[in-house]
Amino acid sequence: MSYETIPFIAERICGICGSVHGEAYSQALERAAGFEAPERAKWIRAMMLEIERIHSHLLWLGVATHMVGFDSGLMQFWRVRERIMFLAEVLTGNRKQYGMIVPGGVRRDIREDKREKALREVSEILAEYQELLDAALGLGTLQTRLRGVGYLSNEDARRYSVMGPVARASGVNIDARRDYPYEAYPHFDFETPVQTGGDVLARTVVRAYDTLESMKIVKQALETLPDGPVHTPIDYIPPDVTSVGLVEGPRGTDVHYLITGGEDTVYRWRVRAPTYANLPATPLMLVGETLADATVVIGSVDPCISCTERMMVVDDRTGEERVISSQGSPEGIR
Amino acid sequence: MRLTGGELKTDKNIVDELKNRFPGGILKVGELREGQLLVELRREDLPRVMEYAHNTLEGQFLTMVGADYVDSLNRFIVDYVLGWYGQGAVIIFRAGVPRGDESFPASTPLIPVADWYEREVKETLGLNPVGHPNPRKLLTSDDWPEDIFPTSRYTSGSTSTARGSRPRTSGSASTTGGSRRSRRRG
Repeated sequence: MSYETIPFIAERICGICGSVHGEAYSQALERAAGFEAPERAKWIRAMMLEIERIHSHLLWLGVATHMVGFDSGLMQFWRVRERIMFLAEVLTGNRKQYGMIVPGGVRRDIREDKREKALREVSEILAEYQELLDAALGLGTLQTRLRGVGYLSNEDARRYSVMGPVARASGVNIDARRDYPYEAYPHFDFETPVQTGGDVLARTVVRAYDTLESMKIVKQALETLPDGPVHTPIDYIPPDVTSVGLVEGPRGTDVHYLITGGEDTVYRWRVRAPTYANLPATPLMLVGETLADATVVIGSVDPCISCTERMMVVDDRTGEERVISSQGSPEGIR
Repeated sequence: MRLTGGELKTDKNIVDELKNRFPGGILKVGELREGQLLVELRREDLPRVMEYAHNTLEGQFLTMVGADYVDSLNRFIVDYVLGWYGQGAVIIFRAGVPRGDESFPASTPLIPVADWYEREVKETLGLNPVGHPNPRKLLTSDDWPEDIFPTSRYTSGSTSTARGSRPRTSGSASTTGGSRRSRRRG
């Protein structure tokens, strides 16, 4: 595989945060090549990443409210999310898997009429979401339901190096957009919401306000989009260079590690999606919780569960362990 | 902006602190692209350096990678990547694992965050994390052959679907430029 074909795979690692993987790979590769993407491409890349964060968080907020039996929350958050999906379609032609970020820049430009349409749309969405946010988070029943549930201490959050909203809800103030600035982020004005509660409520608040900040970033990006080319070919990628790409995805920092090979190939590419860091800390959140809370506690990590599909049964009387594989018989499950 | 209070550290004085703490343990410090640092360690020092960097110097554990990247010293590499967000620093800690003695001391007993990563390296590359408290399978299916490592070009499995360019461990262990080029075609 050549370095140019890898983004197609990278973007399909995750159905939700495809651009995050495309960007992390491109960032690592461009860093190895000592290459900088054109200005306009940097703005469009940041915009894609934020649109992804908004729809991911709105999806999660809908699912989380559904898990605690607040189904009108699900419908309202997803109503707003649908407008974001429409916005993504206006800008890229796709609701998901935008296929925009490639080494050297972005694949397509944004036409002026689409930019104006998107700007109008995002201003409306922002107002609508603000209203919804105040209404939902102001609900006493929702707060009572989520407060104190699924606690992860600051100490454990550091010990397990958890990422993203899970870390920021336990008082670990990390955000790759701000701390390892990339693309157009240094030009935008945004806050990183941090909470110290460590419970599901804190994680909900962090994601809810993160979404708001992302909407503001998309608005700023559309307003200040510079002119110029959107793609420049990378002339030369030196072999044997180790480089790391760090991108703040919706679930935390996505890490792409790369060793370049000769002749336009990549020698080693290792992807660390954020759930790989967050999931090992989840058992700590479950200790002492009731079974009824398990769904929302596991859900509060926003796990990307696709690579962890096998299941293990532990018999609590004998301590016996059995792994149930995809071919395995379900007889052992009780 | 900083993770905690106290003195603001830069990536350079993180390395200085490590050098003071482990005299002789840091073999080489090199700068990669855009300020990312590569710190080479002795294999046996990995766990205690990782413990100090992660627990005391409060580096966030970003990833850990094993690679069959055999260099002139005829060894695999294991890289632990830590990040100091407050300082915008990324440091890659690298240790070599010689071919023929494919093991390295596990850091998991000291920093549990390394658990899945070290199991993954064992399973996909065949480098054994010695002292790992829970070295069970993580990624491959239960009936995957024990002697085939999916990300290693040096897999020794007898049932290996040997491609023409894939060297066997029983064959020449030469790592000259010529063999390396042929390896990359695989």
